Amino acid sequence: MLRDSNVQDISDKSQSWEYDDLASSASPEKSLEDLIADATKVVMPSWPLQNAVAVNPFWNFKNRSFSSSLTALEPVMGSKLLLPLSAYLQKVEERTIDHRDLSKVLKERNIDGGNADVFLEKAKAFSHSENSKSYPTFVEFSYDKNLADIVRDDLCKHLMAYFDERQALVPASEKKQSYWDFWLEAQEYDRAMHHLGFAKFTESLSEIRKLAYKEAIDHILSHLGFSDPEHKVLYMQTLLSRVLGWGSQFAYQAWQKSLGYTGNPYGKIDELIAVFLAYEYCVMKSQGLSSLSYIELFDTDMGFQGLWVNKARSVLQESWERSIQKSTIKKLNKERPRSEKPWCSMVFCIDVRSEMVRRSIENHVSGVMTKGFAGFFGLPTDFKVPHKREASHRLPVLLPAAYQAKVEDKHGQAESRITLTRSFIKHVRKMPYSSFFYVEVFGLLSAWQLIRDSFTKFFQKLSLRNSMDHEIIDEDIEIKSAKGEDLDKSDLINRCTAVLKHMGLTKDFPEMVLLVGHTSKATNNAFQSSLTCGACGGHGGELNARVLAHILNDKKTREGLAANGIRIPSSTQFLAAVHETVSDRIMLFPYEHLPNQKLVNKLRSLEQDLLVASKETAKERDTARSQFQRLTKEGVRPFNWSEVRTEWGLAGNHSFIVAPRWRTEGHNHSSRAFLHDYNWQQDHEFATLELIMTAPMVVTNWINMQYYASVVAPEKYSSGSKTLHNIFGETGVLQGNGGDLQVGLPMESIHDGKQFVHEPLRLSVYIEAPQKAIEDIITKHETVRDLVDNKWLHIIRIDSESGDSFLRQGKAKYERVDRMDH
Amino acid sequence: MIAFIYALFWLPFVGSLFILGSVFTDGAFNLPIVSGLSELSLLSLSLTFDTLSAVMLTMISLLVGVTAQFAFHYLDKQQRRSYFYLNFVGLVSGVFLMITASSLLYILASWLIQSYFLSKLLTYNKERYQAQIAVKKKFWVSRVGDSCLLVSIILLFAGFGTLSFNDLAGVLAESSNQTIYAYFGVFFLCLGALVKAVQFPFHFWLPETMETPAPVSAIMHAGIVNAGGFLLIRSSQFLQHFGSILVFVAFMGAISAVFGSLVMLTQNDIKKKLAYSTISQMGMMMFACGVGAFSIALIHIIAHSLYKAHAFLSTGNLIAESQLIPFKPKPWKDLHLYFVATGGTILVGLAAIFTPSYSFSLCLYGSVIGLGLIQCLRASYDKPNSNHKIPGLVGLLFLGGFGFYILIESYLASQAFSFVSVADIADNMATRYLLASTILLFLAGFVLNQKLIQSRSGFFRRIYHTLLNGAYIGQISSRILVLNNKGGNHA
Repeated sequence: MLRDSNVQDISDKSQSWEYDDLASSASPEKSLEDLIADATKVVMPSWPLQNAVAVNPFWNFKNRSFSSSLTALEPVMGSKLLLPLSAYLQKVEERTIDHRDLSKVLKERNIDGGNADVFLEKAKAFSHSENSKSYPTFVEFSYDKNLADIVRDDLCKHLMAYFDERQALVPASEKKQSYWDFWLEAQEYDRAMHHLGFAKFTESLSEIRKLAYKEAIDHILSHLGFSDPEHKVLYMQTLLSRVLGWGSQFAYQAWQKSLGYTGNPYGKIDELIAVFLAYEYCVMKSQGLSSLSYIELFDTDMGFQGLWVNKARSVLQESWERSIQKSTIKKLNKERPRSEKPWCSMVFCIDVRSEMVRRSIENHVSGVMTKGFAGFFGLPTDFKVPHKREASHRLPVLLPAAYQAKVEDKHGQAESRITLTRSFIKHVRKMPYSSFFYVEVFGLLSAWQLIRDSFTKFFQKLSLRNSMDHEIIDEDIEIKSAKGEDLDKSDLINRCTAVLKHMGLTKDFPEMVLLVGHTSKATNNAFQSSLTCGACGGHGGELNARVLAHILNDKKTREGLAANGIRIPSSTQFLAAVHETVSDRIMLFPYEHLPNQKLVNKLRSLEQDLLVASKETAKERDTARSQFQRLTKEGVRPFNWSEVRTEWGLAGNHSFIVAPRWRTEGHNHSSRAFLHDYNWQQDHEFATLELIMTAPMVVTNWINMQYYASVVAPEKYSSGSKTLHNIFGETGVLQGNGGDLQVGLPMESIHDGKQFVHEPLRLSVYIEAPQKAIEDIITKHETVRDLVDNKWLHIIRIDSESGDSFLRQGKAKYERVDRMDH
Repeated sequence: MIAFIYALFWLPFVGSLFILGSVFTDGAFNLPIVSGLSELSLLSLSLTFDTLSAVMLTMISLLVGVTAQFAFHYLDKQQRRSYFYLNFVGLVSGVFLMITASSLLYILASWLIQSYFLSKLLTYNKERYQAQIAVKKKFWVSRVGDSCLLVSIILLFAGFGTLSFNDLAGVLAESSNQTIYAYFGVFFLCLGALVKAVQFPFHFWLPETMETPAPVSAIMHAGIVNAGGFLLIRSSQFLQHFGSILVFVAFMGAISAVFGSLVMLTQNDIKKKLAYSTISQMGMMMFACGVGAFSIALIHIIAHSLYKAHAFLSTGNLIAESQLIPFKPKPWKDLHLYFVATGGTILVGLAAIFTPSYSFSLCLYGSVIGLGLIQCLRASYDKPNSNHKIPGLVGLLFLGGFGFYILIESYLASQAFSFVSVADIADNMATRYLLASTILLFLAGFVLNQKLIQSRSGFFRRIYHTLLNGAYIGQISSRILVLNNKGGNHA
């Protein structure tokens, strides 16, 4: 029932899903391994803060329908994962949800005969007593939330020690071992639970100490009295939902391993379940508690009202999205506006933040055309700098690296005296006794640091150099294969051919092609990387831009490309640039050395024009998401060490438009749409479309779902307020004293103090291409099929002849969206 | 408008610079506030502006300017920002009163004021249960400290009829006045100071106060925890006559310094690490007071406050900074040089016994700092196939810096901060032996520290877990103060 790929009966499904809950896949013959695997689906990896990228926390449920899997997860998470009914009703009141759209969805799903008034009346009656069932852990059930949190924090203490490889100078364990062994060993010495008042905790552990973790899970589950496999899964999921952040660390290690990165995953998430179960069990044993009435809680029967309310929420969510889609469709041009041939083409990342600055550039700068393309410019590259701890992976996290960019190690040992000295001073600060020495010798200098950091506007100025790693601008960069071997030239040329084709740049080259990566500059901000380019794996896109520009300017590459049918005129130059998204400044890489003096002059005046466009954009952006007047000027914000809201990032995203630029040109999409340039007439065998639907579309889904989750359930999927963040092990954050690792977006990225700046809407993907091509790709790729058929995103086809839009309702079933309707 | 508000934040700093200037040119002065009640000397309050208070005022008001300005933006759009400022001003007023108070009574008053407003600030996020636990613990520890000071006040007033620091200094200098009242009065004063300075075993509340925004942590770790150390420095004029009590202070300080710094080694998150670092630094300051190096203690307070405030406010930079390849401590094997250096340093400390009283404190304190220098020099660059060493130049610079530092300290001790003399502390040989033996405590910690890094035997594993949990005092106090887990409510 769950894995139905038959899409014809989406409407059937909407009637039957109410009987469908999370654990129903757990049939009695399933082995314990399967049950554990089901349980761990609630956890997705999370990346370290050095390269935080967006993650769809519900990715493992993609083969199940959006609303049924989320509503089924609600009691496990103890949070609403669709908005509460009352919130939707308010949107109906405010006319954000159009009555006509609601009626339409009701009709499609055959609810209340499509009568919105009847439906709303019922909804209003139910909204006052909305059910919010949630499963407690056994400790929460037996005591209260506060004490349970203290017990959980003790569990988290061991996880901190296990995962920390950077902060503590004395490691918790010398040898790398599995988490279950690690924890059992720690329990031999750690008396914390005893001192918290669970006197016999360690003694209670003796009966499971000898077991392997799987046996322990089995043992504990049966001793707690669980027999129904469905209940077992729900219980294990409930436990994991209390340590989602730490679970994500296990998942991250496994994910990186699957991509072929070194660094072994020693622990498994299954072991986390085992350890949590051990806590529950030992608390029970040591206090002589009974679990009889506890296991009865895992009753999945929601009652008629509960089922109806969930169905209603799903309907209202869908109607809301329909209403938004109509307003987006109104902003799609039906006819191509006339345009002159540009001298310069600027290729931006599809990131929603580009939309605003592209619009502003097109308004203010003549002779410039903009394009949207994935911000890593098709080059999955690792960047290695000798004096840095590890290589940065500048590529989408779903891919393995293909290249390695290395800063040349000119002196054999590239560490400069300054780097070494800085590192050494840090060491002096960290070691126990030398910290006395440090404070005595250097402490007074902090007075200067305090004053400098308080008045940065007198000391700092935004520039290319200042907003990114200086190595990328200054140093010679060497390109190797991912394994560090010399490059295969023909392979590189083939890749360049593909990149140019996907970019839609195969003929009519303008004189200048600017490849604009984007980055975000912030000071004292642990989440800076989450504001940079997601397609570059949470780094700025400037390296990839520079590398591609360099390769495409190379004579030999151009010869090779010509052999593949792409003739780049010798007058055409590629140049890298960077879009800094806090100030919206666009800075070009050095171009003064170019031989063509005329071009240099043109670029100089372009830079001036871009500055004007940037200032316009910055002004618009300051008020686009939040009604508040910003307190600091744009020039200062990137350097203000007390700034917690440098920018709103991708908040507000709800559309992904895959069409030629002229469809969207001239309309204000207020930085809510990812814009990917695409021209199906030039797409041979729809290879580009296939790429777009399997790569950028998935990435945008991840981003969209991350924002969605952070907004509907901030207590679970957001990392909370930055003001309470406490950095763990130099890779993650905790809230306050400890507890679960905090993953997801910080509140300051989604909330302006009064309200959320993002609306939880699923992504609507607008594709201008023939229906057959779209359907073929959906049929061919399981992931795409899952996302589309199970409604994790909407597909809307734009007909290139008429300019009309058609919403995909099911397999090969498209319905025209009437744009006059709204 | 913003500029005006910011200017307001920096007003105290500007004012304190003027005070500093006038104290250094024209000498100390008193500002009588409550003087009409001269017959009731108990209540008379005048604000003292001498070198000590001027320097402390300058440091605190710099931090006030920085944190107030930082918080203004940091807490922007949070509903409780005005709540923060209200209590921040209250807290800072308490600190200013403490620094300029001329009598013990007003020190106690300022402690109560600080404690009240600090509790308010620590529950800035009132919905967080962990914050409430921390405040509860802080409440009880503070009351212990206050009670000690109250007992001290009662004893000293009963014995000598005055609470003014100047009068007490005069009275207690005479050996005929060093009665049982005086001894117990001074003892409780020091005990109160130790409790206030988060010394072991009264440290446990501090690492749990991270449930509050960074500016609160900054001003707390930089300002409030100095209360104990400041009281000792302020009382140094008469403390110096009570060598045996100072021995006690030195031991307690040394224990906390060693304990805090070892716990710091095991912590996995930055804020708890900073908290334990504060505990150990405060221990070091108490140690300095105990060995009679009050001027060093003052410099330590100031340097530590500035450093810690900056560290708390800039934790966000840690992620960007983490790309730096670190130095890692190297194991100690067949390293005669380092063993000799360690031994030498310890000998210097022990040799303090035979030095003139003036250099006595310096030798003891300097040898601990020297241990730190040795400790950090034994490190290697943590990069495979790298032959990088600590740049020789840097090593030399450090040594030079250390020498220069010793010079400065000895100058300050003898000249600039003439409010204290160490002459009398070490005239008793027994006191000298006892004080010098604290160096062995540091040596033990030093060895344990190396052992923890290198050895993973069961014995050291147990020590590791004890340290990881801050000696379990947090857990025990939680059980006693807040938890009621005798039985489940559904059992």
